[in-house]
Amino acid sequence: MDKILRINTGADGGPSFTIDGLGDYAGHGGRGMTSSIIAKEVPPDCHPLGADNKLVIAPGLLSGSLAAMSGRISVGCKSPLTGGIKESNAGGQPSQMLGRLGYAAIVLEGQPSDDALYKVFINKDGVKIEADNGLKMLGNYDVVDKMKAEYGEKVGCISIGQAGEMKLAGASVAFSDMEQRPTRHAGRGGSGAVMGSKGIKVIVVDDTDCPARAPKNPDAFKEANKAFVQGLRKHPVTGEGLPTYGTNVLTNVISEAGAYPTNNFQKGSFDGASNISGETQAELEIERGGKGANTHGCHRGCVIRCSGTFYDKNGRFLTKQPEYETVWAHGGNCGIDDLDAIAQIDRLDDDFGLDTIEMGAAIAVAMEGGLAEFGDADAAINLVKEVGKGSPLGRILGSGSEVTGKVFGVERVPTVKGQAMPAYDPRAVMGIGVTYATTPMGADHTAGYAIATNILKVGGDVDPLKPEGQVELSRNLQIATAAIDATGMCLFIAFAILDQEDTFQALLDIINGFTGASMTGDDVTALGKQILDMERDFNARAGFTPKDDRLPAYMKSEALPPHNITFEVADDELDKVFNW
Amino acid sequence: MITLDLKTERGWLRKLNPIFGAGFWVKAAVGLSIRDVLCRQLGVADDYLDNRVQTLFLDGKPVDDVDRAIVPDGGVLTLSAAMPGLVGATFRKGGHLAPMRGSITCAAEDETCELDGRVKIKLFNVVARELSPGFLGMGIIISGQPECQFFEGRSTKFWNGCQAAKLDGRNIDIEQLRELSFEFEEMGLTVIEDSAEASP
Ligand code: SF4
Repeated sequence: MDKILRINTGADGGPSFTIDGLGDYAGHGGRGMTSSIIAKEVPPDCHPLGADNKLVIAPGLLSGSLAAMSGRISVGCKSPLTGGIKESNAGGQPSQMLGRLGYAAIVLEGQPSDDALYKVFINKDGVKIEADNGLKMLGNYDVVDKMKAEYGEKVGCISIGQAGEMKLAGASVAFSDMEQRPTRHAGRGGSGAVMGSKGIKVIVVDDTDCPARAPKNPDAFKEANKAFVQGLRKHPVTGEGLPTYGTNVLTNVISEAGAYPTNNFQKGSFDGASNISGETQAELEIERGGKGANTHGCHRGCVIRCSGTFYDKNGRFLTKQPEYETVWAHGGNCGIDDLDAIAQIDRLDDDFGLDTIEMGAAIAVAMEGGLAEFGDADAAINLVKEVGKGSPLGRILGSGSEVTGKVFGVERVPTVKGQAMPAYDPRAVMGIGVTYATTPMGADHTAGYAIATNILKVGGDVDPLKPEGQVELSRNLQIATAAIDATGMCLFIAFAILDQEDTFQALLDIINGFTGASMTGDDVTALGKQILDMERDFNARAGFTPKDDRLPAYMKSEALPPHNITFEVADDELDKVFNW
Repeated sequence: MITLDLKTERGWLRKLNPIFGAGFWVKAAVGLSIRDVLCRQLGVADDYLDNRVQTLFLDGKPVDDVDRAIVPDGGVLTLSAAMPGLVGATFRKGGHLAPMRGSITCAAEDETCELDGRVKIKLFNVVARELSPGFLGMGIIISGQPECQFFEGRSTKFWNGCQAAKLDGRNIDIEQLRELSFEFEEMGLTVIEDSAEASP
């Protein structure tokens, strides 16, 4: 991957492009690449939907190689939802394809002078950009079908739905999966709106005749990859729990722990949890049958395969297996315990191009505001349809939970930096509250995933008996996550690494075998810190202060049942997270 | 209390996942440690509890030490394998992320031993698959009308997996069972799975 494709959408006569070398960005991938470009090239005080913002799409460092699990892709921009820097991560096929084509990043820049809509086609012969107003206000599924008809059955698509075209702050960027369905989304932070503001509806990628990227040291790479896969297969989470039940295996456990935000964060456990749990979902999928029903990967090269395929009661494809965050957002958080209804909403979100977490949170806030009853699945489905129609109500909801809360006069709005919290109540799990509050991304669970803090020893060992332990852990997790996001590896590798030192070493050996470098655990830590420093510096220049690193005030005063606890980490502790 | 005894094809028990997730009751002596209740009375192997059950809650609080936490009468014990995700990892038994939980960890309490107690058991994920045959073989109690009504209106596929049934000790046709209204306050349930593979 030695080139960057830049598309100037504001050029006279329609978008033009250049293909440059990596320059200062050599050695970066995934989140490292997106955050480097945004931090260096985007004025932090620009309008997120204006000419100065950029949308960066970057495969991970290892994408396009034969390294297992390496097909994740990062999308970066100044976020229309948070006003800060954003990296949002997705699966799907395009990451591997772009890697094979040699692109380390695609950068959309400028601002179109008219309202024409464009499609971009990339293959081994080059890049073609054409106006296609026939795509206007189509959902992602129709867009991908049209692209397949035009460019063949093997292409990958990066697209936006109606929400992106309407520049709604809850809009996602869709990445097509192995079956060429637009089911994998860079959901968080409104990156779809930025793509919409650039007038690009879809980027079609065709890697025909492009071989996998060759490692610098093939033997070492092959050996390490083998050990890495074995490590993933033998671990109970990555080798058994995730493939069998998917991420939704968390529903029962988190609800049991009293940390499952229910009815817009009013309670910490949901009576209907077992009806929508991963266990029940797996059984339903097995009973209905169909290709890839219960265990499926989101891209080629995934060996964990935490995903699946959801068929409706009549055996027709409806959507990919909704993951934990989606099942929570549209399920328990809205008081809904019907898997078919949740899957239907997931399909609508994917088609309109919406972040399922933000949408579920917005609907729950609207329910609290009196727009519908908690538990009313039909009402929830109709509210999502309003977004697709672009009605005034739909545009409010599609702008996210914070806007929705303001419009409907709701105080209990679970956001940090304007972004809705995911499926864990920080009052019950205070350590994650530290991450929600302080990550540069706005409330984000993936910003502090479980990774080998005990192996990396970033910032020293944690004393579990001291209150600072939570701050310490959050810091270490954020550092390690930023580094993993740069590789293009799925974060779910974390469990095998957490428990098995040899699997962590195998990952380092893969990176070193591929790049010819000699990276150590310390280098991984340094990379993570470097990325976080860049992101925090961008946010500071955009006007963020420590006051933005806080949870909503009600979480400090309103006790969460069943444990009846509030968030107790002091502000000055939160301000220590990035003291390194 | 009405009783239902089923003989089913192998693998049928996973259809009861919602029951395992919501919880069922078993009779046990209480006021004892989790290990005493699960391993000395309910047939869970020590090794299984120590290694396979990685996430364990008592009354909704994560437990780190199965020998110290005491099960009270009416207590709820939840058993799960290792969980994914940051939060999943924070709930792991004695995991190094335990401090992320803050104050909800279960501490030892003084309880007096009572022989005639009841414990609610919730089984999640692979642990449900692996422990449910043992529990259902011994017999469980499903309590509450809505919980018993789980069996009402189940699909043909659900009942097709049942080979024989007894209601209150008397043989009953599977067809009759399908039509039955399960408006019981409490139901004792045993299920014995066939050892042979289910037909496709
Ligand atoms: S483990 Fe799941 S999220 Fe990760 S790459 Fe595989 S299917 Fe995608």
